[in-house]
Amino acid sequence: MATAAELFARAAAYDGWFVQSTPFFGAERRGALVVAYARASDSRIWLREPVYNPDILIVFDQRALSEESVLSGLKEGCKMLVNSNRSPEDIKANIGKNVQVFTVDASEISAKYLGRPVVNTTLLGSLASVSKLISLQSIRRSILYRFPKTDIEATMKAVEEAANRIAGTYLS
Amino acid sequence: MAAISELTDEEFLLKGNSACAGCGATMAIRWVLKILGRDTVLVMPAGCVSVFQGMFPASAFDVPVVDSSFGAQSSFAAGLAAAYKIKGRRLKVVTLAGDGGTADIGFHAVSAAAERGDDVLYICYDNEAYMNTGVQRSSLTPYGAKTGTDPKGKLEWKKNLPLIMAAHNITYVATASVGYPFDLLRKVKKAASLSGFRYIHILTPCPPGWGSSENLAAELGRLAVRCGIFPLFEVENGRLTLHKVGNRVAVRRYLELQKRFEGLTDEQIQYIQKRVDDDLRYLELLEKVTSEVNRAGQVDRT
Amino acid sequence: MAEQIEVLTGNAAAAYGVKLSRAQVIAAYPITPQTTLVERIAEFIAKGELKAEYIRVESEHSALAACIGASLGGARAFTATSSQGLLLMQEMLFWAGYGRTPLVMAVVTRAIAPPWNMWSEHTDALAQRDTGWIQIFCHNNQEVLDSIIQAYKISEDKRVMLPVMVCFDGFEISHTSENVTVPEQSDVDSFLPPYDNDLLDVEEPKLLWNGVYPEDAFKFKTIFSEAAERSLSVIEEVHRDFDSRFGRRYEAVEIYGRYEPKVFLVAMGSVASSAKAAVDVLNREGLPVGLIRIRLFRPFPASELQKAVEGSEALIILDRSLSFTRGILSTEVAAALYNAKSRPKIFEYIVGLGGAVVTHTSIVETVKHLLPRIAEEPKGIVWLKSGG
Repeated sequence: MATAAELFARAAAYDGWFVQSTPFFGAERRGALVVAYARASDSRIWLREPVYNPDILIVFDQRALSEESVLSGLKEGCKMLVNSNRSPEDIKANIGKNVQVFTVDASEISAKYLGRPVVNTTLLGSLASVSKLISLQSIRRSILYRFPKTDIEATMKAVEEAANRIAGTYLS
Repeated sequence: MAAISELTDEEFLLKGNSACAGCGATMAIRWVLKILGRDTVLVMPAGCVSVFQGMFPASAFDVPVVDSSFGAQSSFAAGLAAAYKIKGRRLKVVTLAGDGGTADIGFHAVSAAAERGDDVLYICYDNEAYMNTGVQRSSLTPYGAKTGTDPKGKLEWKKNLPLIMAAHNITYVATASVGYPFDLLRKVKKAASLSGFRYIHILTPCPPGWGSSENLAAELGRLAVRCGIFPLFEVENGRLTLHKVGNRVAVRRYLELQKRFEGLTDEQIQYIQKRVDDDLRYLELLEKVTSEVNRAGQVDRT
Repeated sequence: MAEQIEVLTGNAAAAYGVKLSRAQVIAAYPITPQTTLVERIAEFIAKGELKAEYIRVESEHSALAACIGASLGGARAFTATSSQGLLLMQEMLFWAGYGRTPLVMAVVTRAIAPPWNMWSEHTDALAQRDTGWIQIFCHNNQEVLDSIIQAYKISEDKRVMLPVMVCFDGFEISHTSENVTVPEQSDVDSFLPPYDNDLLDVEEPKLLWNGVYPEDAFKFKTIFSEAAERSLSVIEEVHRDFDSRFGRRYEAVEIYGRYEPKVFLVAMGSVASSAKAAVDVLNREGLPVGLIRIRLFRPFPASELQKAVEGSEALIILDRSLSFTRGILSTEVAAALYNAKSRPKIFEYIVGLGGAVVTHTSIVETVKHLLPRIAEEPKGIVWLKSGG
């Protein structure tokens, strides 16, 4: 998941953005809640701090939605992209803020093309549609750079489907 | 020992610590502490254990613990032992350190403690690399294993630290493995009953660092012994006793369960097999030769 | 390898700097948050992209000792470490400094134990200011890569022959990815010629570093001190030369901000980066506040600092270090300005110790709180609470 932030940042850089990405550094043990941050800007980024009020919050595992800390920084009108088989309306109802919720079942999509849930790369496709910051070509380049031995065609099929199969709510 | 019923129900390594799933070190330490009991003071340097013991204000241990800098643990322990001696306090001083902290950065101090005969029980939990900081090689990383600082696989053979400690002519040296818990418990009990510098070297497989499934720590601990790559032995009063367990198994069976050995050529595996056979033979000869030795009473630093 | 835009962590950028500098001997011991730096170098070597000997030492004291040996043997050497490791090698730091051994080390700054703390502050590096090393503080990943290359050029210059420490914050820089331009190897080769060290010469044998009586000792220190004095102008030369070749200009003291600031923030490293973001906000609101970023800490650029503060009213020092009760940067700034013609007021803040986040909003709020009171006397050192 820290990898996803890195993949996004590299893709955004290929698309001409100034970028920054950081994993959050807590005790890194398997199974713990992990957070990563990424920024894209049209000028050099000087900030050296976590993203407190994201424009886009991406949730890789919907179980994280039950954590208070995950939802606390959401600002009005921001976008949420959740890897989930639930409906966006359902998720939005439990959040209690006026945010735009997008869902995509990235686990299922990636399992379909890659044989197992590989949410990291697949969700980038949805992120491309939701953020309009990165292109599919850049995603492809970014994935190949980081995972040169991967089956890129199958991965990109998952990415493309994730780009198209998003359900979303509108701002109320 | 040992029947399971003899072990205390008390837990000194508490649940909820942040060790990785399947961590071999937690298995070993939990049992060790059940034998040692409440009147134990632990000294530990930086390493996996000093991290999974928890961040302030939590502690995963129900015994007093002193965290030391990396490499200084033996000297911290020396000071503690001297203090308890002069104050007449009967507390067990136990140093708990990883392979990197023992064989590399702390080696000079461990050797010095052994040479002085500090009244300390030193337990090295060997996961065969600097695992806490990612996976970087230590001198106890085995030949052929890939790590972050040796991406093509280590070219040097694993340093034989237990034999080096035995050469210090200390009270007691033993190797143990999480694959054989009763053997480990017996050795800890014996060591705890003695005084002077005692050294126990436990193989504690690390599934994430070795590239194996989380449920394989005990199995790897067994295979390592059965294929001879990690022999079980004790050295007491100058005498080495080797413990053979069941039939020998080919090293390949052990290596192929771990991604860190992926890509080893047949030639390399043959080299490992031969070297393991040779080292085992060496131990057998040592056992024979030292059977006529009796240094009882010569380890008498008080 | 052609110049390319890359997205690299600070540690990876440093590793690229080492590779492009064609370092020949690497001796390092793992410590968070340096590990990914030396692992990347190990990977370069394993892939044949860097021809170097990698000595897998058993402690940091040995790491630097090995580098000193390598440098004497005529090889370009490199090591990297943080906090505890830096402290453990302190004896060797003085050895390389007083011994005038050309060397480059990356220091990924980290708080010092106890208690154990992996996150950044500057005390570890600043506590080595007496060791005779040149110290450079980087505030983004591009600067890290560029500074490693420049460091070798400075260190090996015959007028200098002093080791150089390239320091950058653990995690905020070392593990954060940013756009980095990676220069072409051939360009770096023409900027940085090969290293040679002929001190140990069998034709004309010399004895290095044996005992001295007091008079000779005084002479040696004088010679050392002259080299240290000369290093400042050599560093400026290297900065200019680097700019003409690679189009990136670095300065010992960097001034940032619009308008003609009467009030300056003073900071280093990652704090300076956050301060730039704060200055952008303040300037957008029309407030004439700027940033003085100290890039070069040793030798401390006193005259550059004096020039920068001429005519200014006040300095707000954001100090990510602590020496007993006072920040180390603050002490150095005060000392450098003591005899200056123009001496602004100094407001001292201790920030970000133990890795506590220094948000740009907390800096903005601090400045806005201070501005109306800028004419008052400073009321003592303020510990800035972690932003959020």
